[in-house]
Amino acid sequence: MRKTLLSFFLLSTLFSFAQEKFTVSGYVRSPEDGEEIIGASIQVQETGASITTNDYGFFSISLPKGSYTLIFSISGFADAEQKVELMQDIKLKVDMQRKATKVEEIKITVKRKTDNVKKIDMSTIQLDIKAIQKMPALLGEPDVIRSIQTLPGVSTVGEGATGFNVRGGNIDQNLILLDEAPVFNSSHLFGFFSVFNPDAVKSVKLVKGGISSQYGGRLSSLLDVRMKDGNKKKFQASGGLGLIFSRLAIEGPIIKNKASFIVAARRSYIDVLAKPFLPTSLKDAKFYFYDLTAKANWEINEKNKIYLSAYMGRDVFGTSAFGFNWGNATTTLRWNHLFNEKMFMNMTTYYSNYDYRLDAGATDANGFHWNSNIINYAVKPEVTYYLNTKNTLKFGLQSTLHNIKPGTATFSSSGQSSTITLADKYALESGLYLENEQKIGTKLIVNYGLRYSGYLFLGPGKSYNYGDTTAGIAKPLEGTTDHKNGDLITSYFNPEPRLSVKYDINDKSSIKASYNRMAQYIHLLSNTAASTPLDMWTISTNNIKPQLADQAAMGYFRNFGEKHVIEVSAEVYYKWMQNQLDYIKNASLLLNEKFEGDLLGGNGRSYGLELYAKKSEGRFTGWASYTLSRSERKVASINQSNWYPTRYDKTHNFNLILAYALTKRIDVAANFVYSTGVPSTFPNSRYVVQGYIIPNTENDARNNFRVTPYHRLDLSVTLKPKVKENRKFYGEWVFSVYNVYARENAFTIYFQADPNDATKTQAIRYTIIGTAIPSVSYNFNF
Amino acid sequence: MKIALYISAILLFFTSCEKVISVDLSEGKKQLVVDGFLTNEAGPQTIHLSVTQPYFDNTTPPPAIGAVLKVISSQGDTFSFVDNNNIGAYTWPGNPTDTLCKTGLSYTLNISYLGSNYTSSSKVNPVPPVDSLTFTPNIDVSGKQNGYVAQFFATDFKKQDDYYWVKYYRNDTLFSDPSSLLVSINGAIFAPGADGFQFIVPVRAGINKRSNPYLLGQTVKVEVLSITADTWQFFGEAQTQMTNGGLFATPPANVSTNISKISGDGISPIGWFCTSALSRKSAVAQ
Repeated sequence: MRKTLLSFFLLSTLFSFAQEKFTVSGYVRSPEDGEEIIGASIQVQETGASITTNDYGFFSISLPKGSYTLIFSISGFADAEQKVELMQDIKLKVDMQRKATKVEEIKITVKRKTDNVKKIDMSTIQLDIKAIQKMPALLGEPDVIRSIQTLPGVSTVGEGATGFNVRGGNIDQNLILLDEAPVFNSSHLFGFFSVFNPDAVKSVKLVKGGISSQYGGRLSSLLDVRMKDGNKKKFQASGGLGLIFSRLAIEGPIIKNKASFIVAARRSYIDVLAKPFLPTSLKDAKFYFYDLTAKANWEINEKNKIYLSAYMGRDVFGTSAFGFNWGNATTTLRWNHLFNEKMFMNMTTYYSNYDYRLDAGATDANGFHWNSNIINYAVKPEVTYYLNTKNTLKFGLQSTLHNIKPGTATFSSSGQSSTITLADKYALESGLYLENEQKIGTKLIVNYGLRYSGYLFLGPGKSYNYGDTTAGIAKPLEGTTDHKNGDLITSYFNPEPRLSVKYDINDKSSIKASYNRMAQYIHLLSNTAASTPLDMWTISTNNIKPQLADQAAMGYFRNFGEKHVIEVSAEVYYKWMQNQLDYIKNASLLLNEKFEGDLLGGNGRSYGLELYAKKSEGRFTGWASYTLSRSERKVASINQSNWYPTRYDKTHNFNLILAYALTKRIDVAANFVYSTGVPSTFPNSRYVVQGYIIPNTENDARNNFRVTPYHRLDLSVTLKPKVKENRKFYGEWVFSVYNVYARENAFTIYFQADPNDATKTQAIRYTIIGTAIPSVSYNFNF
Repeated sequence: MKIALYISAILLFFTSCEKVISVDLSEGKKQLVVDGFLTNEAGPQTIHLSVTQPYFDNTTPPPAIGAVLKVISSQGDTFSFVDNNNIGAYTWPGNPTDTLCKTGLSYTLNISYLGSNYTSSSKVNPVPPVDSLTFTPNIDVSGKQNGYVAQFFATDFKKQDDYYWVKYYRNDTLFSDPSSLLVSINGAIFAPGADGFQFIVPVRAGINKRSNPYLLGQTVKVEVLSITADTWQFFGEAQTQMTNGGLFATPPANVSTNISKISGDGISPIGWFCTSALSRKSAVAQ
């Protein structure tokens, strides 16, 4: 199978000898700040051929000798046109102007297809950071992850919950990359805000299916966040003052047009503001976060460019007696190299460290301290070979060394102390991939590829052997084995085929289909409704098999309107997932050497229909999404071993995001969200032991009821300054109201004894945000 | 679990709110409930039998009457429990000086109810003495004294893992709400790291209610009961299920039982049987 696929690759790429051909290649940039533009489309007017700029703004296309008109387009920017006389290889630097909010005339009258119809990518949404900043946001702070949650196929277990769920996948099944380095916890303040500082973000792309062989290691999605490079032309500062935190970003050239930097920072001050409202027992509470994002780039010459990016952020919670904190730190070094005008290489190396610690007890003599880390070192050379007009090859390698430090805990009591150290774990995860995007005729594009992933669980370390037992109770530990440095403990290998097909029905519509298999070797152990910051990540071991997913999707894409400004899509998908982790009752996951005995393995399935309509140009912009879906699991011993809906299963999920430029100086925006209530487990009898009333559910059912539907409306108004030529300082006020009609949405409904009368039982609806939250913030740049 | 409660408290800032609502629940199948906690205290011992009731039925649990109930020690002694008043309270009368549970022995419970037979067993583990009970002034954040913080001192046994249930009383009234339930492993909270230590601070001072501290002159009583590992697990599960709210709730699941039906086609059993040794200390706050 593998051999035939490889030979197909080779054959299909070899018959490319025709008339004399030349290559036009180059970069697409925004002239105001010199930022490269990711994902811009380049269409050759004469032949209809098209290509897209890569993640570094580079493109290359080979054409027979002749004269051509290239049309560059991407939403948020005015189209650009470039005529070329192709008598030899040509290098271009193309400028594309960012659009103002008001309608601008589209100068080029050619009937171009918009991205969603033209590109082979399906189940993919690229969000312009400007569109994210237009949405009404909680406390006036635009947020990448919260805006992702309004897209079709994306759900969350509830307000304030960490992460997001894509097409029935768990939150740990999203590969979240910040400038190519993985982010393990994308949240600040649990899930209210994300770690991405919008001032430093250039582009956000979510891929839910048909994932390229270039990416692997997570089952459900890729969230690719790219940071700005920093203004190459002039110094610039931007920032905002909000109720909850303030932001500041500074960027500018180091060497004009050659090297630039950006530094962006945020610090919250809710703890200071909240103090008057807290009960006495929490007066000394600390809860804040900060983050720092920095990047520098240097164009050494036409062929070489390097980027250095870093992120560091931390959340701190607690009082003097008890507290915890967690943070991510990543550093990425990238080198772009052009071997020639047809071959582009990016080499990424990164270091990432996610850590969390828990402290209890004010003194050293009496206390408990625990810290834990996940450290990753990786190298990723990736090559794109623009072979000819019909074929674009991508190949590369990715190798990551995972070092999990489950933790060192120190107990002290009256001066005595003991330390528990759980042994470090090491693993090498690698992926080798090759894919070709091939145009067949004028209507069909096929992208076929194979990723071959391998995982080696290595010593030094300890492996545990468990005996068999009835599913649902802790497996008994039968023995452990110590392994020396470099010993191979267990290995797993998975071929992961990927396939995408696009067929143009006409110039307004296309159909697309895709299949992908994904393997995941690192898992988040979380047994709570919303993930807690102390949830432990673990890697696959002899007891924890890699998670696998197979997903097939099909979609219909169409443009409406004179200038194709309305993009509409409908997609259906089916996903089958193996080796999903679940937990026995009362599983002990914290600092438990034998936690693997408390894990259960099962299968998951999810399927659904996603509808999406988007208008990104004109005075009136926004999108609407609707998802009809099901997400289920089947795990031995849970729900009597029958299928049950997951905590994030929402039958209907509807989002409407609208922005309207009322006048030149006033923008208004609205969000409306409606979704089916999440499933929950409700008891149906009770009994008393030692005076305690204990709830009981017949047949040990899981998620047998649903909480009430979730809906919410948010509004915002942005006041902008008068438009003046040569205005240096730009400041805008944003007034917003979150949850306008103060809906008390249920996060959970739980059952307990009445605190005032322990003989009575009651149902409690727990709401995270139950009032309308008005806010004001001020954003500036100069 | 305590961590989760704590975080939820902080989240109050986000205008989180909790409201009592009405929910329509179906009625589950009836089960026989066993509430059997025996100690080495001299005098009578009681085991309660009842039947489960609908979740929102706030009446006294219906008693299971007419059962025959015996406890047999690993030395072969048999103790009969009788429900004289038909209220589901099956009592072994004992003499004021007789003790039922003896440290180191195991006990088997046999119940015969409506033609079915049920059984369970438990062991009596040793318990360390409560050495002392101390008081320090409770200083709130504003710096003012508000009552007293009590701490009890006891030292865990070395080598084996020991499990304890700590019951505490103010003026002889047991702190009986679910969040006051205090169990410990080796004198620590959730990991066996403190083997052989003096009980750690969160356990030592776990006998206080921060919102309602002990006042001058109030009597504080602490009882430490040895329990089995399974019982420690049972209390952990029960406490989780009774206080399972908020952002970080775990999936609700039924609490385990150590009662099994050995014959008959009567209703299935639920509940717990445990035998303990007990040590106690009381003192007046000053």
